[in-house]
Amino acid sequence: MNRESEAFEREGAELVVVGNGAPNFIEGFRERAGYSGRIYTDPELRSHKALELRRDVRSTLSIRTLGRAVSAFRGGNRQTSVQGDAMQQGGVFVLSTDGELVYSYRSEFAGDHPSIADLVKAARVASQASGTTGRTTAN
Amino acid sequence: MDAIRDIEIYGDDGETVRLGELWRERPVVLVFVRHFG
Repeated sequence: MNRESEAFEREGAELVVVGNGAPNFIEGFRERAGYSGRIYTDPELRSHKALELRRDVRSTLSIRTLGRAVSAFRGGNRQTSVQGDAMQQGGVFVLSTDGELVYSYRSEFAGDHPSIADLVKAARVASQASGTTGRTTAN
Repeated sequence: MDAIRDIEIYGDDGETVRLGELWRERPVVLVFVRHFG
């Protein structure tokens, strides 16, 4: 997560994480993820509902989820106790400083994530829209 | 993102922050994770 954060920072944007468990779960997540940036939580899922992020059994338990779980397991990831709502899916939103939504991605199932390359591009666009570009790049 | 601008979320010390504050100074990549475990 720190590596991705650094890629966004180079484009002038910041990675902010929002979970859905109790606030006291944040520190453990920070340690496991090795992430030093901002982490928040919305235990009542108000933002998740407002953003229409999926929350249902089908998105949590499906063949596609099983495939992603096997890949994650092979990569050394282990599911520990669930801290938050296990049926709540996530998503990614990239915003400029005036609140313009530059990019959105709503996970369809557990393990469904956007490409980092797409997020880096969106971060660049958001920074340009904000007038806060990071590094300069050759055209 | 008017739908979420005024929603308050919590930091690890229990302090609250309005979501709209997160992108006020810099653009953000706002990642909603499934859960913390």
